[in-house]
Amino acid sequence: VRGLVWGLAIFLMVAFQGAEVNFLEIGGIRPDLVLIAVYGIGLFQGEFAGGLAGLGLGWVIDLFSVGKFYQNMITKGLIGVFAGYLGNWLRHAGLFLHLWILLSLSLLQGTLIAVVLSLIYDSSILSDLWRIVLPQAIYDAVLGSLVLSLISSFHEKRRKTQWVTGGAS
Amino acid sequence: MKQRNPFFFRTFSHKTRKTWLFLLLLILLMIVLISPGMENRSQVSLIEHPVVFVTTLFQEGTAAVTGGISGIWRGYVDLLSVREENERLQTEVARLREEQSLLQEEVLAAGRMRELLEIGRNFPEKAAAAQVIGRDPTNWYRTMVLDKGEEDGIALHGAVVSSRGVVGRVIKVYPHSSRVLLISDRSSSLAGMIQRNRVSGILQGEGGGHLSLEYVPLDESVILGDLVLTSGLEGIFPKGIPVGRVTRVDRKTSPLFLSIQVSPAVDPSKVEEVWVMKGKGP
Repeated sequence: VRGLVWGLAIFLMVAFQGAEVNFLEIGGIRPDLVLIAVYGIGLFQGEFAGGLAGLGLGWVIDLFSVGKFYQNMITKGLIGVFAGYLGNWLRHAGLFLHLWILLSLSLLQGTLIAVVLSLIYDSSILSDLWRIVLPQAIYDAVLGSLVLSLISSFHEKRRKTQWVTGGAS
Repeated sequence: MKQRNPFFFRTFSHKTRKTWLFLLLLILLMIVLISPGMENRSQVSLIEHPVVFVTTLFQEGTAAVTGGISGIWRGYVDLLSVREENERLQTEVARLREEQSLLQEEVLAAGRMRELLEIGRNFPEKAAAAQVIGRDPTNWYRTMVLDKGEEDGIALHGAVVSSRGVVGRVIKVYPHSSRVLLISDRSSSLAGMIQRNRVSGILQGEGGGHLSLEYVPLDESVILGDLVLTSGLEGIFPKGIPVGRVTRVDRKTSPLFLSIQVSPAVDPSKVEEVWVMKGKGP
C-alpha cells in the first residue's frame, strides 16, 4: 500500500509538472519537482533506488517533452545515484546543506543541458544560464530544501518515538 | 316602650358597623378631594401632588426596569433575526458572486470562441478546434498539449493558430491528444514577411519567448512595430497570418543581414483554444 501511495504521488507530480496551470510557476520558470524527488529518494532510500527513480522519472519527463536526447533520464539518473551516496552521511542534514547541494546539482544539470543545446541549436549558453539555469536552480534549491528538511525532521521525530516506545516495552 | 332599631343597626354587629362607617367616611373624603377636579380637570388638588409624585417615581422605576428588560429582550430577538438574515444574505451574496463569475467566464469563453470561429472562416482546410490541456514539463522547450488527436482529424505538421495569430505546429499526434511546438521554441522555424513592404525572411524561435527574423538583407527597410505575417513558403502555415511585431532592429551584428527581433502576437501562456489545420508539412 505504501509503495502504491508513493507511486501515485510520483505520477501526480509528473502530471503536475506538465499541467497547463502550474501554481508553482514564477515568471515562466517551473521548479524541477522530479529533481527534488529523485534527490530525496536517493537520500533516504540509497543509491540504487535513487538511480532507478532518476532514470524512470527522467524518462517519463523526456516522453512528455521534446528533447532530442534523453537529457532528463541521464541527468536525473546520475543525480539519484549521487544523492544515494550522500545519504550515507547527510540523511538528517539541515535546511542549508540541502539548499547548497540542490543548488549545485540543479546548476550542474542546467549547465550541462545548456551546453548540449548550444551545440545543437547554436543558442547562447550565457543567455540560457541567466534566463533558465540560474533562476531554476535557486527555485529548486529553496523549494527542495524546505520540503526535504520537513521530511528529515519528520523522520527524526518518528525515529525518536520508535526508540522511546521500544525502550518502554 | 320599644326602642326603634333601624335596619343598619339591626343587621350588623357593633364591630362591623364601625368598619362600614370608616369605609363610608373614606368614600366621602375621596368625593371631597376629587370634587374640585371635577369642575376643572386642569386643576390639581393638594393631595394629588404627593400621590402622583410617588406614583410617578414608582412608575418611572418600573418603566425603566421593564423597559430595560423588554429592550434587552427585543434586542436579543432582533439580533437573532438579524444574524439569521445576515447569514442568509451572505449565502445569497456568495451564490450570486459565484454565478456572476461563472457567467463572466461564459461570456469570455463565448467571446474567444467567436474570435476563433471568425478566424476559422478564413481557413477552409481547418481540421478541428482544440483546447490546451498541458505544457512542456521542462523550462527548456516550448510546447503545449491539445485535447484533440488523430481520431479528431489532426495530423503531423498541422498548423496551429489562435484568434490573434500563429501558435505553432503539431509535432506529435496521439489518438486523443497532440503535442504542439510553439513558434518561439529554439527548434522552430517558419517563413515570414513584413506586411508593410513584403520583405521575406525566416522566423527562428529563440527559446525565450521571442523570435528572430533571419536573412533579411541590410539594405531593406525594417522599422520597430512592423507587423510580421506568415508568407506560406514553408508549406505548413497559410499565408497572411499575424506572427508578431518587430521589437528590435540591429544593423551592426552581421555584415550581410539585419538582426531583427520579433515579439510573438500570441502569448502562449494565455492561449486556451486554438484551431488546428490539416497537416500537410514535410
